[in-house]
Amino acid sequence: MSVSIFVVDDEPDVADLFRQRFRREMREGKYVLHFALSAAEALEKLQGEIEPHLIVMLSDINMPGMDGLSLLQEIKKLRPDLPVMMVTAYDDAERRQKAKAYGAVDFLTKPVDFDFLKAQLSQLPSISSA
Amino acid sequence: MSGAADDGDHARSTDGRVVNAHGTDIPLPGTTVTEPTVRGRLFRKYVALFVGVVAAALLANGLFEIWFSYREHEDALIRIQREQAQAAAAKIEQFVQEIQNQIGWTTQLPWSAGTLEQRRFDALRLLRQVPAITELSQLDATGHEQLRVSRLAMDVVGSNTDFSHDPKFTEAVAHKVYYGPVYFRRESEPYMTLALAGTRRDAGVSVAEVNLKFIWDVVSQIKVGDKGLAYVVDGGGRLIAHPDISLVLRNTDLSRLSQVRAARAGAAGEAAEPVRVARDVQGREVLTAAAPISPLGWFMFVELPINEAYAPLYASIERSAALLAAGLVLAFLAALLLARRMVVPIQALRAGAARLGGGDLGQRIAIKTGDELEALANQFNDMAGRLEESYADLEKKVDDRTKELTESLEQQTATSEVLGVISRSPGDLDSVFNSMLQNANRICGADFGVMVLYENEFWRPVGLRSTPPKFAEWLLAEPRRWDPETALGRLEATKQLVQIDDVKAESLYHDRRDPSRVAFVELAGARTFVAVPMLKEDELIGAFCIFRREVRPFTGKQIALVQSFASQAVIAIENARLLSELRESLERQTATSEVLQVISSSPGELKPVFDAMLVNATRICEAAFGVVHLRTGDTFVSAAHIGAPAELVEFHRRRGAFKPLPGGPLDTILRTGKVFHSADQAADETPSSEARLGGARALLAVPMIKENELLGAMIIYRQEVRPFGDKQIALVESFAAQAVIAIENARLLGELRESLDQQTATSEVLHVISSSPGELKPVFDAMLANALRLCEAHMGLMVVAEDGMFRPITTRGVPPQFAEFLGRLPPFKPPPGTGTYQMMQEKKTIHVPDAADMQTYRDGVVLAKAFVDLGRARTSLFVPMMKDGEVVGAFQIYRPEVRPFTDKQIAIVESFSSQAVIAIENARLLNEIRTARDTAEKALADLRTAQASLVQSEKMASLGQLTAGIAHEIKNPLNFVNNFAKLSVELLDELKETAAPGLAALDPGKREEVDELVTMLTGNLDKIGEHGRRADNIVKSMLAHSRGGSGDRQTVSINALIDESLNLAYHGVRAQDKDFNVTLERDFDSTLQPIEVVPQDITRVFLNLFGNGFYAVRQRQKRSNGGYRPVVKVTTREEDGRVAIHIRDNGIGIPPDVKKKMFEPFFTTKPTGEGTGLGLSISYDIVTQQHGGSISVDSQVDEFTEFTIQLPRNRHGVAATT
Repeated sequence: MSVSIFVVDDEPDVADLFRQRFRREMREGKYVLHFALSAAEALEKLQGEIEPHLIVMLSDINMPGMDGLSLLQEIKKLRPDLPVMMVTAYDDAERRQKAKAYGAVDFLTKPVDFDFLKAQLSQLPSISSA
Repeated sequence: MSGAADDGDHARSTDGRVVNAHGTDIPLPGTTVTEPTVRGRLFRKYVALFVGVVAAALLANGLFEIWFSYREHEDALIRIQREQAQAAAAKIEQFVQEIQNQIGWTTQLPWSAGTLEQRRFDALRLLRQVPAITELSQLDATGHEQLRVSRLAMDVVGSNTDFSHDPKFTEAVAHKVYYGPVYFRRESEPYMTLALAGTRRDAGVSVAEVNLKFIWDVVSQIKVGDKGLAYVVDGGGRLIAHPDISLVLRNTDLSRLSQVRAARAGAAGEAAEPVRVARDVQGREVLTAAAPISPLGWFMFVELPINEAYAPLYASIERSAALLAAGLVLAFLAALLLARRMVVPIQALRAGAARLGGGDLGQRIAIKTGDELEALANQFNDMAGRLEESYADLEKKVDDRTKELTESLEQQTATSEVLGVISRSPGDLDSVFNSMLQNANRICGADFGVMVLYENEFWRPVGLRSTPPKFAEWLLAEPRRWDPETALGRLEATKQLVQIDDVKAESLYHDRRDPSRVAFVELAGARTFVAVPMLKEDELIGAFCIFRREVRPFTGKQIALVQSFASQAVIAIENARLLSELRESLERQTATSEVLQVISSSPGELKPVFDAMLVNATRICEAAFGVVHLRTGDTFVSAAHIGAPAELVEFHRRRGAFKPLPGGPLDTILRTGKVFHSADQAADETPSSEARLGGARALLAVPMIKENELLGAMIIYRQEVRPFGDKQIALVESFAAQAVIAIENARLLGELRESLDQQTATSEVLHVISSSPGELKPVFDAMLANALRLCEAHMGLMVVAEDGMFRPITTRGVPPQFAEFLGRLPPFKPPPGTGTYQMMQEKKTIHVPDAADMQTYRDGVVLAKAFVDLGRARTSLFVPMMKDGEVVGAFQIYRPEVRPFTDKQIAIVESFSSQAVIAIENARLLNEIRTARDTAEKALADLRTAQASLVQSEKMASLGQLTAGIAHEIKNPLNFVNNFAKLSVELLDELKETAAPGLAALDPGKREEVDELVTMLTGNLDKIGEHGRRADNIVKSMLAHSRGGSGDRQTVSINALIDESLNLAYHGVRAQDKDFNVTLERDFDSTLQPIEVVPQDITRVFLNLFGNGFYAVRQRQKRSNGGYRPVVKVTTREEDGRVAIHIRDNGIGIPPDVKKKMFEPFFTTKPTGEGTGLGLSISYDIVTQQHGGSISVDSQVDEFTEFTIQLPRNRHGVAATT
């Protein structure tokens, strides 16, 4: 029973990083990772079906074109129930506050503490329910 | 004689004698004659003259003789020498000619005609005949030698040697004959080549070598004197023959000798004077003569040394000199004899004349020379005789004159004695008259004399001398008139001298029995009488009378003497009169000048002037006392007294100002303005105080008037009835006039002083105002002090009014008790009726004549009573200080006595008052301006501080933004590096695990290799991770820097915060370096109150600074060699609303260039990896921007570094907005 995690970041290496970090979970079939390099691509992919079940979106804030916070708002319009975590290098109160207001479930600072992230993921309701 | 007459006719010579035309001296009386001097002079002159003449004649003669004999001698010698030379020359010519002739024979034959043999024989024959020819050769017409015959060599025939170019051939062909140069054979024999051409064309040339020994023989044979010699010189000046053959052999060239040059020049046809005296080849001086040896062109010289030539001449000169000397001796002896014969009679004449001149007229001069000198002596003798006669006559005349002179001298002595008396005792007529009478009596042989003065037709005797007592008594009884018949009567009528030979014989005595005449005869026993009138400008003023008791008329001379005495008496009388007038005038002038001096020496003071005037006036006017009264309006005050009785002075003093007694002197003067003069005041009806108390009788009152206004009067009194003279009145009047001037001067001076005083005071006050702007106290003090001084007041107050309440601000001269009262006095409203109240009401100056006489004082108003009783205030002055029509204060001036202030005094206080108002106003304005200026300055300073902070903060902020941007951009890739590194380590572990079974299967070598590779990879990844974390730290710091101000403010204890940071920092360093040790000194202000800060950020600052401090001391410790003790000291202080923190270390210090940049981001001095360069930059931001404080640094390289942080408690200015 695997679930999908969707990571949006303009850095392509983020994909490799996540894949390597989650290689065991992926090998075990626990998570399927999806990546988008921009908000636009993310939204496009979200229009379509994402298999298996998408349980969380991780989005960078600083991105060319639409930024992470705007994407968050868009996602909330499309999939209000989908948990979104903001991942950013800019740790300031304002962003934190905005992210929370727009409905982000978490606010992670780069560099990402994967152990912490994995713990958070395991707390997500859809997983627990799954 | 001419030599002796140099002194001229009767000229006075310098030694005091008169010399006559004949050169003899006439001694003057009292001078003695020195005989040898005169004799010697004349005598020497004669001798010198004779000797000179003879010597000159002899000398001239001798010199001429010597000169001519010298010339002749020389000519004779030269002539002989020349003859010798010519003879020798002729000999040589002959010798050569002969040889030439002999050779001539050999050239007669033509070459074709004879044979060579023939020619040889001819030649041999020739050699035999002519011994001088040594060799003969014959050349044919072509110049080739055909034959040579010689004494010294073998004959040569037909050698055919070519001589066609030899000079002996060419010259011979050309000139028929050729003389070759002289040459020597065997070093001693002179030879010459002689070539002769034949007369025919083909005759050829015969050449002979001629021995010239012959010439030498000729030369040697010539004898001239002892050392004279002859020699021969060729045409070129070369010596050919000489007795000394060595000279010839040395080929001596004589061409430079002057005689040779002259001879050669003569031969060449030049006009040259033959040289007579020259130097020979040895350099001796010689007499020389030359002769040419014509065909050869040689010269023959004959020379004789000059000393030898002149030897006879010198002998002749010596003889002449001896003769001359003998002649001189003779001449000298003859001169002596002649001079002696001339001088002796002249001497005798002179001695005789001298004796005559000396007065010995009986003496006669005896000279029997029979010439002019004897005649002269006779003339002297005659002269002496005549002089003798005239002397006798003269002596008689002198006796007569002496007698006359004695008489005249006596009279003159008398006159001069009288004149002496006159001049010795000017004005003392008695002694003058006495002396006149005495002298007249003595010289005129009178028995007595009388001097009478004629005054208003009366005769008054003024001088008597030796007068019989009874007659004197009669005379002196009274001034009397004289009968016109009497002598004085006649004299009175005619003003002419009267002489009566015998008074007894006249009818006046016999018949009329005139009493005066009777008195004359019977009382005085007078007989002969002379009366001489004394006239002053034709006016009879008296008579001079002398008497004899015998009948013997006075001579004309005696009468003349009396007349002269009479006229001197007139002069003496006149002088005495003038003198007394002069004295009087002098006295008056002295008095006047004394008064003037007093006036000038005491300007402004009138009392000494009046005193001096009165003293002088009373003295000169012979008054008993005097008084000066001064007028004020209708009244008078007695201002000065001199000589007045004490009662009168006292009376006047007590009387003070008084109105003059009607009809009295002052009253009269006041009415008339004229001098009042009364001979007897006591005659008045009401006796004046002066009459009563001073016994005054006569008085003189003189007014002192200035421009028709009576200022006062000067009155002098006599205590007897005697009127004052006109001159005396005039003197007092002049004093009065001077008194007026003095009074006026005193008044002007007083005004001037007063005005000067006021101006000085005003200027002082103004000076104080200008020198202490804005300060009122010194101004008021100066004003009050000057006001008191000028107003002659003892106490003064300056009060200010605020809302109608008065309060003293400056006082002066306040008695202690009153000062105490004033000190307790609150600001007061002036009670109604007081001076201050009036002044406030009327807003003008109030002048209170007597404070003790006011109603308020009498009513017991406290303030009024205090001023009078405690402040001793009587006459008071209240001057308001007005501003905008309001009373803002007042000057209050008090006198301890009742004496009103003058208008001027009031005016000066009023002027002070207005100045005070201005000063107050100025001070107010100045203070306003100062406040405004201070405010503006402070605002400006604040603005500057803010501006500086803003600039710095702006700079830092922009840097911070930049930093933040960079940090973010770096952070992302760095994350990847870190993440992937960490991940790779995990992956490797996994790989090792996964590959473990496979690896185990491998052989040990391979396995080991794989293990090693994996270990190395793991190590590399760890290194990547480590460096990544380092970079991450930097980025984090940068981000924190840009973030700023995010922390919360809390009120904390700075001391605790520092303590904590210090420990943390210290252990941080210790963790890295176990050996590190440092002394930490804490100097905390224990009273420091907590302050509001952002604790995390401030801690960061402290950690930073401590870290730097530790780093600095460690660096220094590394460099030192043990003696260094690192210390970091922290001090906290509360300072003026701020907390100051000093962090001081004794580390390496900070160089100035580093200090400039140390607060900039990324600036670090630490090696790469040890510092981020952001610590101080962040600290700066935190302190200055976040906390509004300041951070500064002081440092000395290798000494210390001290950071000072100041944190304000109340933050204002720049807020942390980032």
